[in-house]
Amino acid sequence: MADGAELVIRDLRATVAGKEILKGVNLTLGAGERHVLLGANGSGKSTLAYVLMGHPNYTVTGGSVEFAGQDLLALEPDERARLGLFLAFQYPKEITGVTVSNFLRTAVEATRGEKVSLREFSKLLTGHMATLEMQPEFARRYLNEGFSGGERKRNEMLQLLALQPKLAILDETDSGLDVQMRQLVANVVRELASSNTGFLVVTHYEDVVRQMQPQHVHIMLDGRIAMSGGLELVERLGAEKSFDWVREEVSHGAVN
Amino acid sequence: MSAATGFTVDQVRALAARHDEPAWLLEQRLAAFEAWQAAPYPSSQDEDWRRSDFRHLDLERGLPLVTPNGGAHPRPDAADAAGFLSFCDGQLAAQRLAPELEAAGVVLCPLHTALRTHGDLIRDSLMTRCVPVDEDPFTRLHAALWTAGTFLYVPDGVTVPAPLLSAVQLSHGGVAALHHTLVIAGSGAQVEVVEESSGGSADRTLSVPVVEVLAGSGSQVGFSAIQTWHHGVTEVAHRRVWTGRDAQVRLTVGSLGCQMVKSFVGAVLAGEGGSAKLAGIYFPEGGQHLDYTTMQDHRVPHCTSELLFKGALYDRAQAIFRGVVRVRPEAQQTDAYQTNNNLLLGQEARADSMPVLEIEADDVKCSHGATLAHLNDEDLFYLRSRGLESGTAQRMVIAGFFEPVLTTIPLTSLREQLQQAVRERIAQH
Repeated sequence: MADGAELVIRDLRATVAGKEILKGVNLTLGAGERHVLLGANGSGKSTLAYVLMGHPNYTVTGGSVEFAGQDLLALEPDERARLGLFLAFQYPKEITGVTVSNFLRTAVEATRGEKVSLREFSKLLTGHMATLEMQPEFARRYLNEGFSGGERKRNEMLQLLALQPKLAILDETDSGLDVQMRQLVANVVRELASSNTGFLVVTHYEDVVRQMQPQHVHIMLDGRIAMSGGLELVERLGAEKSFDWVREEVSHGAVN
Repeated sequence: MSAATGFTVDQVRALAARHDEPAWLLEQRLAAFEAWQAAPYPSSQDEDWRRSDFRHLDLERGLPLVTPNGGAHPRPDAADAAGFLSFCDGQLAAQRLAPELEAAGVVLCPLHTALRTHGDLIRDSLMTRCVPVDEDPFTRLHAALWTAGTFLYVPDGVTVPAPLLSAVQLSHGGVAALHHTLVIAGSGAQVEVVEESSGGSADRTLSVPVVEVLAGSGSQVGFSAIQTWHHGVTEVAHRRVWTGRDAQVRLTVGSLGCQMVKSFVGAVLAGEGGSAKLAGIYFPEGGQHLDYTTMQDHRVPHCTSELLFKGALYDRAQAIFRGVVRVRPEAQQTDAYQTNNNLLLGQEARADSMPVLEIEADDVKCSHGATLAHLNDEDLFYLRSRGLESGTAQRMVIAGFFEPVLTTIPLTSLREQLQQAVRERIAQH
């Protein structure tokens, strides 16, 4: 493993329903680094996010992933979370009868591996909800049930703030949000980044990318990382308005 | 049929004599008994009965009616109730009612006691329209032999600020327990009642309760009936609310115990502008068999009814839900819906859900929905992605499944006891 690297993905291959989606992904993230993952729909960005978290519908067919010095693929999803990995879902599930507050407290205790007093938890919850401009009654609602798109994303951000992971993967957390909400997401990323949480952010939005100031930008194409660089890739995407040039340059061997 | 050992007319007469019952009541009992004897079992052709066979009860052989056997009578845990009435083995064991409620004219007492003070009211209401005597063989058996009863009367305009509890216990089995509950709420009255049934044994034990809740115009009445009988008990229950004009009623039933249950749960919307909410949870395990028939009976215009029944089934348990929405021709502008959710947790568990819409009016909104599901891997994955172990995530999803119904139970102590019972059942599997 590279020195200080948190996540090392080598030649990762995965299928869903028998179809190969990831075709050899290579990616290394250092501790506390912010990476952005761009790419056309269907290029495998969300699949990569799910596979890293251990989604049951995906089958890993090759390659390896090390996270925090461990063989990530050998671990159950909850073990990965307790190791400090977090995935903000694009479409989080509705869980009837489980309140936001009850769930979050259970999750905080699970990831910390110790009981958290009600007093301490309330303080933590109130603080993070204020950061996200959420009304207190939100905590008593059932997890994602009847939530608007914006509320679901806010709820994912709430969990992210409460769990303080080593590495957070945001799967299009900003899609479908207005400028204000995207600003809020960017603020969360900045706040956590300052406490050394690393990020792998899947996004379509230039403003989000700029605000989070990533050290690395990657472009996915056909189940692989086709190109890696810095913010200049975002500039170019903004100018070209599509990923066609990536495909062209890759086919001409002009990458990296 | 052997008259010597079966349910007998002598049992009927002895009951009436012991309580010095009025003549009209003895007549009602005797007529019901005669009709029951002529046809002691429901027809197996009947849609409501053909999925549960009660012949194993061997009714012809009869059962002794429950009598006190000197067992201990634990006081109900009802610190947060405004009053309670507790029966053990068919006899009043304890009672309490807040003095200010008594002063306001609220009556909470055994039905036999109330016969002396509220005889006319009871004669007018007891199995006359809400749950009529002649509905089926078990209502007849109940009418003939009901042994003890809970009577609650809330006068017009009186609000009971905290729930009232009716507790029905059996310290032993091998008996028939036929408990009647009659709730009469006056115009504008507000009250929540919780009834809890528990005890019994693996010896042939039969519980045939009838609950009648008559909600006066503009009243707000809630009734929750929770049974945690011994797993050897068979219960055939009729529980129904009858709404007056603009009344708002809620009836919640919960089933954790019994070997076999046939449960009729219903609301008769009989006053314009009334609304009824029916809710149920069931959580059978082993070979428990639960059979529900629900009825949202709209008889007049401008009423609404909502129903939500949720069941999770372990092992080889079986649940049958037959949900009837009946809209009579005059009941225009009815708004009615029903939902039945089943969660299959056992390999051989089975749940059948049958909505029945009998709609005879043309300007109505009626809908129904039923789901049958196993634990969803993606739901669990979501929880596990936050660090929850597989078992923790499963327990959370199953317990949460019941919450929308459990939260409607107003008595905190009973609600928490049920939530605990649900958690324990989950932990055992």
